[in-house]
Amino acid sequence: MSDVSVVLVSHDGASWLPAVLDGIRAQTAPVAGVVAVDTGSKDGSADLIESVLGTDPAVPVAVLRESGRTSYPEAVALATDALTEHGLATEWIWLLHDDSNPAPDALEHLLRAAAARPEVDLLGPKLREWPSLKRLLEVGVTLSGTGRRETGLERGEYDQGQHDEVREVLAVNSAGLLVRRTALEELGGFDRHLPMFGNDVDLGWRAAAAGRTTLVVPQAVVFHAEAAHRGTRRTPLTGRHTHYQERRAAIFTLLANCRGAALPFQALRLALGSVLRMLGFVVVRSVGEALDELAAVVSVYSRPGPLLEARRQRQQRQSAPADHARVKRLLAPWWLPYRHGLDFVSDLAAAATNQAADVAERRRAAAADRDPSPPVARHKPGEDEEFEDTGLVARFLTDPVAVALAVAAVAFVIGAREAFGTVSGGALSPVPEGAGDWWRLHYESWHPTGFGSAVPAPPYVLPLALLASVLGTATTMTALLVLAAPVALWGAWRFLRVLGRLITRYGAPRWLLLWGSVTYALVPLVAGAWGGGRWGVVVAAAVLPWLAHAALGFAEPEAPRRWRAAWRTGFLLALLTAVAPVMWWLCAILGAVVVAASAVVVRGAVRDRAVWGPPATALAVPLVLLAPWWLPAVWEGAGGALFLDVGRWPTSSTDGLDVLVGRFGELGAPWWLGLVLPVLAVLALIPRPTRIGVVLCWLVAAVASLVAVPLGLTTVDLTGAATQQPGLGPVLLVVHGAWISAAVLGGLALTERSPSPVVLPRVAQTAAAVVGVAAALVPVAGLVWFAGWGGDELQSHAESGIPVYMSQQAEKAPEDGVLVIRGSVADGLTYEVERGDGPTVGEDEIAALTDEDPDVTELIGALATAPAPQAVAGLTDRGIRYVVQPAPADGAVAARLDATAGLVRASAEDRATRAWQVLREPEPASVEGPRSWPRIALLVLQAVAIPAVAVLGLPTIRRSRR
Amino acid sequence: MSDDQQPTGRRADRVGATGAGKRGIVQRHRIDGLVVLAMVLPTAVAAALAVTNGDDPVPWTDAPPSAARLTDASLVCAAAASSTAGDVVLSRVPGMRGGEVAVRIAKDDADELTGRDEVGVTSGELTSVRSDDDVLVTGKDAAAPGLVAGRTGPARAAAECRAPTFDEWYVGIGAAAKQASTIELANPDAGPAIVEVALYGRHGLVEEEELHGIRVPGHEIMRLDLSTVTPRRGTLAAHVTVVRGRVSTTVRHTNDPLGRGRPQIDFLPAQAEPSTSNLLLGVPADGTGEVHLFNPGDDEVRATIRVVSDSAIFTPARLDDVVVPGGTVRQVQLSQVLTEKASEGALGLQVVAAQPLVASVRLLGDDLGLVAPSTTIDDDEPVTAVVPEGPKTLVLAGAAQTGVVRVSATDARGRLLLDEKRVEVGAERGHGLKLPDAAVLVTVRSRSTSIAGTVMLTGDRVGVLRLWPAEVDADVPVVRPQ
Repeated sequence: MSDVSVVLVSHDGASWLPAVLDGIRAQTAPVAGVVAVDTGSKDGSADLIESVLGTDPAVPVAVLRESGRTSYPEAVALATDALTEHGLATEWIWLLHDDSNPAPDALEHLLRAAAARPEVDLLGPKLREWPSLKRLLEVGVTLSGTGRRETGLERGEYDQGQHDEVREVLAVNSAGLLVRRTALEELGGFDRHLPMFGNDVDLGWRAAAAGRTTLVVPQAVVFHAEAAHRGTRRTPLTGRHTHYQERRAAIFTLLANCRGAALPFQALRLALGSVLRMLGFVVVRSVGEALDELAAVVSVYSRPGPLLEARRQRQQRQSAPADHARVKRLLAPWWLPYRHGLDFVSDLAAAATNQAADVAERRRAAAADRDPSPPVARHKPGEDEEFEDTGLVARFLTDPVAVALAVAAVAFVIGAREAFGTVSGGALSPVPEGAGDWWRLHYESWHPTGFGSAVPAPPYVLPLALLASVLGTATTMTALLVLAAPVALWGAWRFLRVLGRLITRYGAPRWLLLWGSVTYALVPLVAGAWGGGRWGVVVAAAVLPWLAHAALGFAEPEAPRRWRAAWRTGFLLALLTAVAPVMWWLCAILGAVVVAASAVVVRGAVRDRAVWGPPATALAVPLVLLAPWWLPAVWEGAGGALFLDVGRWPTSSTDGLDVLVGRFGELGAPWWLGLVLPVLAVLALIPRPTRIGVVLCWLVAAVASLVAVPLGLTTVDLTGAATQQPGLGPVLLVVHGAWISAAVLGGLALTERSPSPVVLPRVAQTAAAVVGVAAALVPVAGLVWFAGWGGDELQSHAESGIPVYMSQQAEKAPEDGVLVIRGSVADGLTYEVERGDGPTVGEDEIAALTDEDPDVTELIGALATAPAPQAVAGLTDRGIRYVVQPAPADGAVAARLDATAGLVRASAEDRATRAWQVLREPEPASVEGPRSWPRIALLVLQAVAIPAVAVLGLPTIRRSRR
Repeated sequence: MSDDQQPTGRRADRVGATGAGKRGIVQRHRIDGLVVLAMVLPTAVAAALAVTNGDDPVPWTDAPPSAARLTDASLVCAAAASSTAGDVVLSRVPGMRGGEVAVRIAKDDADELTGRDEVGVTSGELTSVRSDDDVLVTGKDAAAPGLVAGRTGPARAAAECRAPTFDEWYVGIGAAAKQASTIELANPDAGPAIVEVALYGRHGLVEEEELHGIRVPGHEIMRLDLSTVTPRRGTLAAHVTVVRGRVSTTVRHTNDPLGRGRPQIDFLPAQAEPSTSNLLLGVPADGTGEVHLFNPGDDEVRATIRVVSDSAIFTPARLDDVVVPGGTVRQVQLSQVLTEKASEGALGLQVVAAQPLVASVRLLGDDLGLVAPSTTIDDDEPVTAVVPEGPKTLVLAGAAQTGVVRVSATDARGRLLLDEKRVEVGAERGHGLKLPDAAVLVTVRSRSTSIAGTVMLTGDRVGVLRLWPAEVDADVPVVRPQ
């Protein structure tokens, strides 16, 4: 007579049951009987069991038909009761699910292990995936501190006998669990608070705490379909939200079984951990699971009754002191959750940065799928993979490309030495005191700049504020200026590498990538954008290659990848537009031209929404993300900002020749150095193998140049008499970026990696060598120039002439403004107001685009000619505490102000500076303005849209847990 | 991109590009289109860049002020240097309505300007104020425009009656016993004024604490005797800056031969701003003395001294350029300039330099005379001056082109002595016109050219009274945000 009876719980398992029943019948070890509990199956599972097992008189079968609401713990309890009733009070009970099919020798192995270790009360088999039969699901299971079910297995790990060692574990899955009947009864069976999931871990934990041993016996194999976990089977108990059930069970198990002293800490940790996990799910666009996560925590924490009851039950059953040492040994190590977190973040980062990198490979694969006749491409072992097993330093020093990159990076840092510490000059104003100033600038609808302005803050203020919240304002600007060139180099390298691979599967050689990326990174530096303080162009140059890289995703063969590329590109375009608004127009026109061109080449492609949709989405994203800037700018009459480079205006104009040689006016490296690149780009048109790519690059350059024509010929009116040419910085960047790409492709045609290598005649070889040397000189000379003289032009501004104590007073209170009057009666007077810490990054644009207030001009005209007490009162009402005439001051104006009641002479360090104090102190309300509800609505939209777009642009790295 | 539709594999790539067959033909067609694009696109780029034009933004264009009738005018006449200087005579440029002006006098060399008499002043008429002391005349509203004043007695020294200024330059100042200057600062307003005086010598800036932040209380006169405040030898230059309020500055200079004769007193006229071309009109052909030059800049300047005669403006032969280091004062003996040959018909000097200079001439002899650069008078702007009785000559020069100057003169009783007398003037020469001895009010109006003019005292007297336009209009500045 056998000592084992089988308990089989089934629910709508007709699709698996025949195999399972066969498995039971095929067991090599004898079975005393089978008690099957069917929980309201609608597919005839109960009848199936009865009909199949009932044919074998050797094995008595009892089928209990219960309602669909019967939970697994209840079903097992009913079955154990039924065993006694049917005279099947065997020593062992073997639990099986309707989707777990035991191998014929499974029971035999389990019993053999039980015989070898008589103290053991629970034994579990090795679970393998059904129907693949090969992959490992569980070889024992434990729980991490965050409630994660830990199997210790890699995802999809194949069973090669690598875990075939009988060992003690915290718990085993209830599918295939062989348990001593007395032990199960003494432990009180499965906990009814855990109806479907996690009750096995809970049972194991309780057993371990009671000093009982649980073994996993890998020689015994059970194939498990995990129908409930995978959601292929829905019961009234699982519902639609299996994740919710699993999390709830995990939290419940941890809280019900942990030591009393650790309970508050554990509760807090689980709550915080759940918030983090929620964020993680949101990041990978699994909103449903994020909500499940939240619901699980709320469900457990809102009803502490069942939890406390469960803890009480555990204490009552405890006959001896709990075996905490055993539990601790069997639980997952404390650091495991952190490693998972780190893995998740690094997976996400890797996937995010590599999203477009494989576009060439995927296109090739897609092409191969369409036309499977050519032989499968074999990757040529190139220099990319060649490395000898030597030390890092030796490998670095023997790699000329790595050394050259390091030299370039050092030259960038040396050239950027002026940017360390506080930096300002040219178009770059000083940064404000703290990140809070930028946040305020971004969120307020009325700025106390000048005499007050409703012009919205420039779009780059938000990213600056975010960065400055971490780094501080001065370090943020330093980091932008110092890191822009290395980041541009990195981005250009990645972009050019993919570009090379699109042309030939071997990609461009590394030295060509080096040339291209260093030359590109130098574009804004030698152009004088860096030295001239045009930081928007510098940062745009760093972002542009990443945008181009992301935009390559539009060439993905799969539509979902194209859509993800759209969000990613849109996000980067928003960032780029924030620092160089013209870039959006440029990309919009470029996108239209490219879509139109592809419509001509591939007819019908444009009718496919998945073709034109992604680029259109990418263009729409900045419109939404930057809505709090551009919409109010348009309705406040400052729409000119949409066409200007950022920074302090006016800056010197750029004409076509400047764009050609890549220089901003008089700034930058010697202009003749810039002639080499366009010549190279023209020469790149000659080699036939890469001509298509080069022509495309020229198309981009042509579109950008055509956009430059209207931009160069118009001006935007600024406050006062000044005008400013629309920003040609982005045009310069795009044109030169296109030329560099063309030159790299042209160079690629001459290498052995060319799609069809050309053999040059001797004369042409010499000419090519000369061109090559000239090309090599461009980045070298640029680097030398930048390292030596690049920052010379970034000089601090002359003093404003305002006495220091007035500036300090103005910093304390925005209403204590300083009215600065410059010029003379003969040549005209200009006025401006300094508030706070003076014009800082972000405020220049607001001040320059605010329309002149005729009342204010009239007021100051009155002060300068025939001042009356009303004029002084007007100053007070507009938040002016001091009036300053910096040297050289016109005595005619000064004398009139001297004679005005309500103004008293104030001291100034510089004797030539005239200063007055307004007697009546301005009220704080004097600089307050109306609140704009439409802009607040747009800010809310922005706050929602930014994380949404970021999440949509992130790669898919969702994976099932096992 | 390129090889999507091509066979993959390296060999296949080569076949695709160069092989014969249908594929090759198709490819050739595409390349033809490519060649066209390869030529069109760079041309398009070049054309677009060629027409892209960027004019540098003009950040600031000077905006000349508009004019409004003057509503507030003040003139200060310094105390007479001799008993023969006579009363202060007030008048107006032609065509002004006029009105009552307020007169304050610092009696007996007092510091305070007291009293407040009202006298009417109208165009073409003379109003006398009997006083040898400092006199302040203030006109408001209709009484403000075109106010002129001066002393008419046949004295050896002539002081200009001047409106308050903010920034003035002097060269030829002394702070020694022999050549001593007193700076008189008169505050025409009720509120206090503060003045800074910077002194420069042969070796540059002279630091003197007492000349910083000089406070002149309202309606008072501050007299600074430089030989007491900062005694030193050598010729000095001064930059007087009013940092608060308004002040009218007069420099009274004394040449004391120390026992070999009586001290001679004259007034050193001010120069409004350093200039690259300084016309020192009224230097007689037989004059002796020195030319003083001050370079307010930082860099060395080479100055050329030219002679303005009634026939030409020329540089005398063998006269070298004067090198004036930055921030220093240099002298040139007049005898080196006005050589026997060069002095024929000489009416004055012109100092020309690449960088702005301050210049003056100190004439020594029987009388002390101090000459400073004349102001340019615009075309068709009537200029009226009150001049002393006695022999005198009107010297005109600096015409931009050929033109006509009409000169009128009246005597103390209002009789017309010269009625719009025509003087034809030309560029690059000077003109002298002898004025009647009795003339005290001279009006000069230039047609079709700008001109500079000075009334040179002759006879046994040496000295000049410069012509400058009286303030008629107030400048209303153009105001705009920066």
